[in-house]
Amino acid sequence: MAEKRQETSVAQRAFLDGKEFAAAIKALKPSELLRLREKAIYRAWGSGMEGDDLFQEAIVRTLEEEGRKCPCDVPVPVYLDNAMRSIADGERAKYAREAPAGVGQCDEGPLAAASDPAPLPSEAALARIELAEVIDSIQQIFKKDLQAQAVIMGDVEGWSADEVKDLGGMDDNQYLAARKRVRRGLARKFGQREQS
Amino acid sequence: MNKSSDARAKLDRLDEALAKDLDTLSDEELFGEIAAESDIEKTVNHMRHLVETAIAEAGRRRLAKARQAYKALAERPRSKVSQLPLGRKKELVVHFAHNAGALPERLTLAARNEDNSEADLDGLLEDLVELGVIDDEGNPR
Repeated sequence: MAEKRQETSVAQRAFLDGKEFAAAIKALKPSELLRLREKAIYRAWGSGMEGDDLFQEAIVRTLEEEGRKCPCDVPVPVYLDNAMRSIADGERAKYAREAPAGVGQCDEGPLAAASDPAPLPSEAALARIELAEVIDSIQQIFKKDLQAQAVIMGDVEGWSADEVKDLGGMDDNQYLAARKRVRRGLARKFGQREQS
Repeated sequence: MNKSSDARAKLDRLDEALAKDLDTLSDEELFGEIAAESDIEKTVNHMRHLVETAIAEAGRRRLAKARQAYKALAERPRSKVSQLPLGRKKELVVHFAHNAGALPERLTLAARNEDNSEADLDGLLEDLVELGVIDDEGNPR
C-alpha cells in the first residue's frame, strides 16, 4: 500500500528527487551498468575526462541541489547517458572556445568568459591537441584493419550503413563484425582502469 | 566551421553511433562481447563502486555548501538593536505587539508570544529594522 502511494506521488511529479535518483542508480542492473560504462568511454573523448570520471560527474551533478534533474518518465540509464553526453559536449565546447586566434573564433567576449570558467592555458592547449587529434588516434588503433577504419570514418562523417559497407567492400556480416571489432578495440584501449 | 568545432561535431557523431550500437545488442550479446576480454563481475563491481563514491561525493559537496552558507549567516554583521538591554527589547516588542499597524501578521503574532527568548526578540527586532519600522538603535521611524 505504501509502495503504491509512493508510485503515485512519483508519477505526479516531473523529476525524481535526490533520494529516488540515488536509489535508482544503486538498483541499476549489470547489463545497464556495462552499457553505461562503454558509453561513458565514448562520450568522454576530447572532454579532458576519463569515462569513469564522466559517469561519476553525471551522478554528482544530478544529486546537487541546483543541479540537473532526472525526469520521472525517462529511464535512468537513458538519462545518465544524455547527461554524460551533455557534460562532455560542454567540456569540448569550453576547449573549442580556447582555440588559437585566426581559426574563426568569435565567442571570446566577456559573456562567454563569465558563463564558463576557462581552463588554465596549459590545460587548454593540451585539450585542444587532444580534440584535434583524438579521431586520428582512434583510427590509429585500427591501422591494420581497413574495414574497422571504414566504420569509424563513416560514423565520423555521418554516413549510412550502406555507404560504409560500400566504402569498405563489406557484406552485412562483415560490417557487423567490423563494428564489433571497433567496439571491443576501443574498450580495450580506453576502458582498462578497473582491471589494473 | 572552424577546425575545433568540426572535430567536436565529428566526435559527437562517432560517440553517438557507437552508443546506439550498444542499444541494439541484447544483454546476452553484450555480456558475450565483454566477457571475451574482461571479467564481467569485476567490471560490474567497479561500476557499483563508482556509483557509491559519486553519491558520497555529492553528499560531501552538499555538506560543504551548507557549511559555507551557515558560515556566511553567522558572520553577517548583527544590527545594533541586538545590543540593547533586554528590558528595552521587551518594551519595543510589546509596543509593536499592541500597535501592529501595517506589520505582517507573522510578525504581530510572534511579537505577542510571551515566551519569546532573547534570540527570538533579536530576530523580531532585526525584522523590524529590515522593514524600516525602527532604526538600527531601536527608535521608531
